[in-house]
Amino acid sequence: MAVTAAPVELERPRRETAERPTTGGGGFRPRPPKGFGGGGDGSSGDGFQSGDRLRLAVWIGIAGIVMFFAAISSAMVVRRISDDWRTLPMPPAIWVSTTLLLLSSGSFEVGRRQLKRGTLRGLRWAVAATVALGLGFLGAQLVGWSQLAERGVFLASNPSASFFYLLTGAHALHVAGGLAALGVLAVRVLRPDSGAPRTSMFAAAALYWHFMDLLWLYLLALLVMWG
Amino acid sequence: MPEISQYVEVERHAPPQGFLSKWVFSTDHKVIGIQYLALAIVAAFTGMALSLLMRIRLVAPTEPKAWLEALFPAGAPGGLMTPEFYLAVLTMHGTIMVFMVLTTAPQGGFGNYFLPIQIGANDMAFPRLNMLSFWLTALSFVVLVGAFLVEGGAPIAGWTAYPPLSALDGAAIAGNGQDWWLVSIAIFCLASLLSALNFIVTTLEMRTEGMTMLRLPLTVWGWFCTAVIALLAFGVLLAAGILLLMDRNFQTSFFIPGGLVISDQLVDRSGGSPILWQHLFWFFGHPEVYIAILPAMGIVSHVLATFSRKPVFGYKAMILAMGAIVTLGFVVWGHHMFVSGMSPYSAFVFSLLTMAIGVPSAIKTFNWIGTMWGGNLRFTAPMLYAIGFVSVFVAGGITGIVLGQPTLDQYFHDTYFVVAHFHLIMGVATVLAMFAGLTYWFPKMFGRHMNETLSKIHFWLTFFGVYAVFGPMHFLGAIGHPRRYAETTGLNYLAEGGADFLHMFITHSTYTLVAAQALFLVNVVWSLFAGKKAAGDNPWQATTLEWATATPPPYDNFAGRLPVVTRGPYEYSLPKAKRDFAMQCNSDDAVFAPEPAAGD
Repeated sequence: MAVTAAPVELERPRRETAERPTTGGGGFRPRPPKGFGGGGDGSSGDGFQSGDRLRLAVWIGIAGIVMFFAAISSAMVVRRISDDWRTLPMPPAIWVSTTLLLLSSGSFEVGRRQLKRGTLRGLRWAVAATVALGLGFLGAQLVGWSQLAERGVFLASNPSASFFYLLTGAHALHVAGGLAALGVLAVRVLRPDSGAPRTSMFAAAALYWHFMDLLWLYLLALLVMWG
Repeated sequence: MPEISQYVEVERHAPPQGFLSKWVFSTDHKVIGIQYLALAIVAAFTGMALSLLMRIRLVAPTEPKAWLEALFPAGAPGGLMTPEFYLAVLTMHGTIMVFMVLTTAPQGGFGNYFLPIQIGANDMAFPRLNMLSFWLTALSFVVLVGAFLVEGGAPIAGWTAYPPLSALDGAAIAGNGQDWWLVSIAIFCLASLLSALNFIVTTLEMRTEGMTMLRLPLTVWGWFCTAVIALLAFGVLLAAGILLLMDRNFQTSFFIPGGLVISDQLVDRSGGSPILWQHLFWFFGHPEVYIAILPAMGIVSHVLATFSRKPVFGYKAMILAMGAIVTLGFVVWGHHMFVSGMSPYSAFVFSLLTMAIGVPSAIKTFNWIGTMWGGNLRFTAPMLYAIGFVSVFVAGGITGIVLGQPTLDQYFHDTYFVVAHFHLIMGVATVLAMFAGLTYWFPKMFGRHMNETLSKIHFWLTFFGVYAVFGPMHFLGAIGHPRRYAETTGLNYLAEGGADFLHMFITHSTYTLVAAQALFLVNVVWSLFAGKKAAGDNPWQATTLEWATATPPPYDNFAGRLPVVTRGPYEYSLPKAKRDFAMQCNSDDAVFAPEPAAGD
């Protein structure tokens, strides 16, 4: 059938409903769009890596990560009622690592705001500080594990130790992944020609980083109170 | 493409050059979809061969077979399969079928190929992540099959890998098979999580102009709901798998209780809980059933509407039912554990919630029948497969109501009744929907139809074949035949109940069923090169966007012109329209004849 194909602008075409032939049965009439969504991200379906898409991906990834840690946490809650559970004294280094991670979240946030304002100088410092603090956190976790090992507490010494190593190890892996992403991003962000999408990519990375922070606080509370 | 009345012009993406980037390490969702389907077909035939081995062992436990010894010198010394080898075959059959076939084909295969096209996008949201998902899945399949080759052979703890059998080396077999199994599953979990993330972002962010959530084809709803389940379930399986790996390799004791004596040796672990594994496993394991069946439901709704020439009956009810299944699917895992030592109060709650899933399932079933009711039915091969799905879904679903009751489950638990139930509802139903999808979309994917006669012969052989194989298993279960036993010599009550005849009947039906699948393979290969050419871009006169683009679709799906959607997905038999269907991208001017002059 002969239909003239014509490109349309981003604005959604609206039809005059009165011109449509009436339908006998009803219910088959083409309706204007309703329900949630429609038109996706408004970027006309193109642009493979827009920033909002990345932020949504991070939110969804967070849901998956939450389920992973929820599973191990509930296993811990079940396991600790057993007779052989011994309370694990926390290695002192985790208080250092906690401080470093909280500070890194702050510096990341400073960086995000600098980028929004477009002040590259402050941004460089903020990104460098975040990377340094993140590495410091991982280093402090390593020290914490060695402090436990020095006391003769290993992975299989007691279920409380097993859960400590497992939870902190899994979290450290996630932080390391975030650091790798941050490194890649930092190189891109610090280029002079970085535009707006970079800003939202940075925002996506910040979201992930803050979540790592929150997740650590949760794990710390779990380990201190029930470990 | 004259069917697209209005479009949004976007930048084109040139296809990659070179064999490797085009066909092997491709980021094109269509190529990845075909790769997933190919992997699923290889896995399905592997799993089927394993089921043949089981059926042969069951009917002739004492007949030596030279070819068995030639193939498996360790597993079948003297041509007789050892009971351990039978269990290894059983474990690998279940694992391969559940993970590598039922999880990959419906979602990774058809979902990858058609979700972006049906929502009017030019690719998935993260194409490189998509490629990574596939190759991780392929790697996990290789690792899984590799378990056959390692010292001690494949694991024998079943696809559910219950500890302590699976947790202690030497409890079942000595060797690393179970470790390979666990590593394979862990890789598979990662792949599925990444893939789920990609599917969700794509569905939410990549829809074209006018494609609202309530204009999505039900296939897309099926894939979207499946991705949500996968996102929330696979992380739990990954966690459980890591715990079990640690129990096996690092002397921890998450799942191993105290006081175990194995081969006259006291095991020096204590305090673990085998039931904990069951909770974690089934929290994933039950939603896994819906990971397989939801995309199948979407495909069946899609195909039934096309060949009934009617809109899907109760489109919104179908979506709500899927949502209810997703939600309820996460709170019924306890019904797998009624006999594991569970408080009757918990069992009551799990039972009630399990019954509740019958409601959305029945809504869907009645809506499929309602879609066909009074329709202008066209009995093509995909239509037959889709109707077959509805039949098997009902037959396998009814027994779910039986098993969901703790008192009845006490009797039926771990009998062939359960085997019959989950094969029909999860395995056969999903596979029939895969056949429906393949015969339906084949002309779009490859420009040629699958041979209609061969497909119909295959359908009838398969349809009666699966009832002949799994129907009698209900009776085996009713006389109390335990599942997973390599042989039942000496259990006289089974012989008196007629088990020998039933087993013989099932095994011979299996031969027929397997032969029919060979016919299917021949059909696919033959049709790829010599099938009837598809007439135009829309040979089935269907309404959704995959039929509006060229055949096969160009690299960027719509050649830089993304269609604007103006109507719902299933507008068949539209009153006063020029044709009996209106595509989602047809404008009103294209659909309706001009108004007659005033006063007419």
